[in-house]
Amino acid sequence: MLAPTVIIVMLITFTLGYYGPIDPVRAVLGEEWEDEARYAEVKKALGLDRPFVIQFLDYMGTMFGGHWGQSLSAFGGVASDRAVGEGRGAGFSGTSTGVREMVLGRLAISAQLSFWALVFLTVFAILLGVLAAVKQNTTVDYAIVTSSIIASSIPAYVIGPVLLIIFVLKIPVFKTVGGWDGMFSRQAILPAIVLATGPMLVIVRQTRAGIVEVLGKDFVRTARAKGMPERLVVARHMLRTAMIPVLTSLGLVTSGLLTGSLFVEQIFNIPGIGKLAIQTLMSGDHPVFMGVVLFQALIIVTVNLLTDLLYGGLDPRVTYD
Amino acid sequence: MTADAGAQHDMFAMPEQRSLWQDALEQLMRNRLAIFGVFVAFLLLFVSIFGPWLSPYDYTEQNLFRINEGPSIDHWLGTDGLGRDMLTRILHGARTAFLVGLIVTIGTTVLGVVLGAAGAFLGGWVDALVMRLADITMAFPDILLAAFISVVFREKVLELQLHLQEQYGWTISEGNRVYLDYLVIFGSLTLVQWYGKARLVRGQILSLREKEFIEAERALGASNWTIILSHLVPNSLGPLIVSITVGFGGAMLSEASLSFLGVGIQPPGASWGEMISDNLGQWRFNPHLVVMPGVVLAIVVLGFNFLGDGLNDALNPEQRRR
Repeated sequence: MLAPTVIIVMLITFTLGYYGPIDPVRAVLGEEWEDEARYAEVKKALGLDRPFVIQFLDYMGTMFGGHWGQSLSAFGGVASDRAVGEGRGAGFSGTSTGVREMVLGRLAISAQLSFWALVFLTVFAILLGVLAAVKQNTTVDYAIVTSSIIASSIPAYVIGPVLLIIFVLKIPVFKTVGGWDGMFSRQAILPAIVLATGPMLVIVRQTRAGIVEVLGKDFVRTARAKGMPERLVVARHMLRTAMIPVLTSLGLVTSGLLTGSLFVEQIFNIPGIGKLAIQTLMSGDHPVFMGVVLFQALIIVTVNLLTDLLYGGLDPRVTYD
Repeated sequence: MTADAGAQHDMFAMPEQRSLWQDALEQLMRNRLAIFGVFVAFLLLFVSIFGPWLSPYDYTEQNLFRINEGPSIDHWLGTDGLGRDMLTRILHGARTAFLVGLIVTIGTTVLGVVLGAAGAFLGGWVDALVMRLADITMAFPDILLAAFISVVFREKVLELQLHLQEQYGWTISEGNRVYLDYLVIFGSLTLVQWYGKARLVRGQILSLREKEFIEAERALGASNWTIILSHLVPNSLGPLIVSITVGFGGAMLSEASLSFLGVGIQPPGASWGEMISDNLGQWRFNPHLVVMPGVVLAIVVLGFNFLGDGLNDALNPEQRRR
């Protein structure tokens, strides 16, 4: 199921790029595009004088061959200034023009950001979920669930600036913000928190539901009856049982973080994969943009497949035929 | 005889009988967060209709002598970097948000119901095709796909408009240019967001069709249309209404996201997302310019989410969480 989906995703992105608004030849040539001889020459160099089908097959070949093609900035001109200019900082190979190098280089930054967001989620969201379940149907429970709904509903480009204003202007905790200086710098903290608010509700709800389900179970009563402190009952017995669905959804959350980091990257000016997508969409560097879309589609499809398989592994009633 | 029948009826009648809808309304009225959502929805409707008459300024009117001001008597929410009144632009942004929410919701609902129902009833290759289409749309990162489609669409729409202008002399004034942006967003968001409703409708129909009461109806000789109109439609309406409410908020949020990224509503058109990205550079010096459209967007999105949650609890009693 994986390969046909990916091929059709490829066909759709390629068609959109083919009929797209920005003529790659013009993007490369800039002011010079009116010179007909130069235009034809660059068009031939880019391989755009061939029919659609041939171009698509060629593109498919480069993608499956693992080469992924070249950014238009490799050919010089306007596209290069805009596409490569902004990405500075550790971990970014700003000079490479291969699509694979660009995508993977930027992915590394997004992945580091997503890693911190996952750490925040596993620590805080699971803790809040457990708390809400233990205090089921009390004010504490309602407060936790409602505030997670609020945190997850508000988009990153609203939470981001608000946190910036609070923690930089009002209470100056952070001095330098924006940009990327490796995952262990203080600049990574705020963006990671903002990124973590998105999937927070899912994790809180799932943890809460998992714990509520085991609250009255026999093994919990046994643990209490033998005099185990409540803290350990929750940690050792309840959490362990309730964690299975939470762990599977953390997988889905990871792909969501990787594909959804573009707003956070845009706000905090982090040269991650989302920022690369927006830059190249705007500058008309279609080979790179299509590379990002395809790569993200691959992540989504793979994670969906893995989740399905994992459910099958955990629940023997699910069969595949 | 009639008295007899009446007495018999009384014997079997339940002491208090409420329909699903009455019950749902009562449930909804008890949910304070959902009431907040209803209030937000009506306020948004009111502002998007009467917004332009509520403020003395035009949303594109610039006053370069009074830029980046804080709240004052003249400008209740201050002015932006071009001296435009923030309140007026926020009111106008409500119109954008509501229009996009409305039209995209209609588009996705029609497309979703038609495709989902077609898949469920016709089965075979139609069903396979619809489901594969949904799988493929799902495989894309949705905001990037919507952004890509809207960039491509915008060019095509502009070409078409130029063509019409040359051919028939149809001109679009600068002020009406924003309607082209609307068109682009309607198209791209509908294409990206239809699959949720299609899957929902298909699933509902397929599961309802196996239920005993439908089988009983069929055994009694009811026609397909009777079953569809009196059982399938009312029974799948609840989940669909919830999905429409949540989708309405989602479409408004997606419009704000696209405009924030610079591929949705273009300046001078007013959209909350566009206002946030437009004023983002000012967060250090004039934080209110970023916060105000953000807070309005947050309240509206939250309102629709709460309303969707409340409707879900009210209309799908078997799923009630608490």
